[in-house]
Amino acid sequence: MTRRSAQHGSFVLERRYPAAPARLFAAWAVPEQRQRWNVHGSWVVTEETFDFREGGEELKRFGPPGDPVHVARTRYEDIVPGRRIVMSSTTRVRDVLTSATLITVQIESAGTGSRLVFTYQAVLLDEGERLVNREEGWNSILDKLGVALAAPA
Amino acid sequence: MSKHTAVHGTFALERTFPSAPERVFQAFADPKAKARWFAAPADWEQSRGKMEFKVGGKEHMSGAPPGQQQHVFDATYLDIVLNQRIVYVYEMHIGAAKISVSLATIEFTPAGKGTRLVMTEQGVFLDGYDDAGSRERGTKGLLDQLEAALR
Repeated sequence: MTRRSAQHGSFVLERRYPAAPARLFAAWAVPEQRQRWNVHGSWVVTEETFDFREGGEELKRFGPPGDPVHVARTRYEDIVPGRRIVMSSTTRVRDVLTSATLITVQIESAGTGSRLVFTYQAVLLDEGERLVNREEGWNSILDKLGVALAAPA
Repeated sequence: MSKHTAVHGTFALERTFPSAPERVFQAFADPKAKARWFAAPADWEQSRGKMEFKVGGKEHMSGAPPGQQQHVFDATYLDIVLNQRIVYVYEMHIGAAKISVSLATIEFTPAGKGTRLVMTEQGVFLDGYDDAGSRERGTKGLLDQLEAALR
């Protein structure tokens, strides 16, 4: 019998953006806005559904260009407009579960802009998975969010 | 409440039981076996919803201390590996307030003739109603009840 591995870990990323909290929240809540930044580096999203409400479930298929093997299913656990989003999700590669995660996005005003605190708690279920890769990916995504917020609304 | 706080915490509890992994796993998988230990204190009014032990399946339980608000447990199973692992996400509510969201992993490993169980909870505690320390104490109590049920 093959033993299954389970590594637990977490990280916290912080950003300041020159956009008001309502605009930063909309970048997560509004599909057309989220599509501008929600995949890391040069990866692509090839299929995506949106259901941004408490209890809402979304699917996203993504990966390197030409090989979108990752499928994330996300469920919104808690939404406080303008302030907080808690979501759980699973990621599968070719139908094999690779992780389950709990993500908390906290938004607060900071000067004329806002501060984002992104907390990622995860159990990685495949030996090849590394938390540091997830952290690099989310750093890239949050940088792209900054670029999207700097563009005209 | 005006301040929307979110405090994160993790704990891991480990137990070794004299029962085989199949039997310990069954205490989580079978609704009747689970009801013997996954229960509120005896003086609470308690009700159990349908438990669907499958990936994507839900579990619902609620109970109230005498004269107090309902405590509600709502879980969704994310991963099940027979006799080895269960992953689920659960929300806790007290009355209308959502007090936490947690990712729970339970791992079952053979240990001699018995089973080593590791239960890891990664949680976010919302708006100051609860914290990881008190959740850890509550979960220890549940594992004590599991230990008694397996005897």
